[in-house]
Amino acid sequence: MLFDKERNREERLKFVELWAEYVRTHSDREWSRQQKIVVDSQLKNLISPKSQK
Amino acid sequence: MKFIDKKIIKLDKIPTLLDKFVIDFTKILQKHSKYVIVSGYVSILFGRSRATEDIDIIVEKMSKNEFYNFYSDLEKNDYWCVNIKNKDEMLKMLEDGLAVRFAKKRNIIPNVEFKFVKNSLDIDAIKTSLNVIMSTGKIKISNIELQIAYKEKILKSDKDLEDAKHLETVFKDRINNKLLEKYRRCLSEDVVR
Repeated sequence: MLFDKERNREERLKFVELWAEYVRTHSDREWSRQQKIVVDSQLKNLISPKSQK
Repeated sequence: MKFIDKKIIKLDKIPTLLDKFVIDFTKILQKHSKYVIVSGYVSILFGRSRATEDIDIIVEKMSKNEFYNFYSDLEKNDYWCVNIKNKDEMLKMLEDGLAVRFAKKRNIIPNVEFKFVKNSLDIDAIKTSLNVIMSTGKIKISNIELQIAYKEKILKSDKDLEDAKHLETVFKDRINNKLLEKYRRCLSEDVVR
């Protein structure tokens, strides 16, 4: 099956909207607890990618 | 998040490593110049689920002495410039409208992509900046309408369009739609660049 770039883009944008709606309607503590896991791990991986393998 | 007034947002988030990096850097910068944080970090600050290697900061122009004092303060606080060694060259780059990058010593990322104001849009971004207060400190960011329009009309990558969508959704009850449309029109017509 061919990878459909446009559908993938639309799906990503829908997810972005879903998450943003969650941020809008939940407490800062609730969304930031989850965001911190993603941001900190991505940043650590950028800084020293080998240590994440 | 809570709007204290039109220019102040109180954010009760659990800070990420990126938030701590930005707050530490701007604590030094604010002693030396007016500044505004723009682009990707603005959407990350308000919940976008991604990291970034660099934080874009626009700063009012500094004189030679002001810049040297600022750089000396950075060095005292364990920062270095990752793309230029000599401070005269740093200043020359900035005056030419280019960016210099500052990171914590022994690190390359995350870094601050530091630029002097260079057009009316940058000046407007500083003038209309918002103050965000967190438990660990306060920072100045570009107004949300400008960020959305800039990402939609100028930057336009998938990542930037997602950032714009994120901000537009999070702030949908607070956005000044007339202002947003004005920015969209100006940036589409390439008036401000």
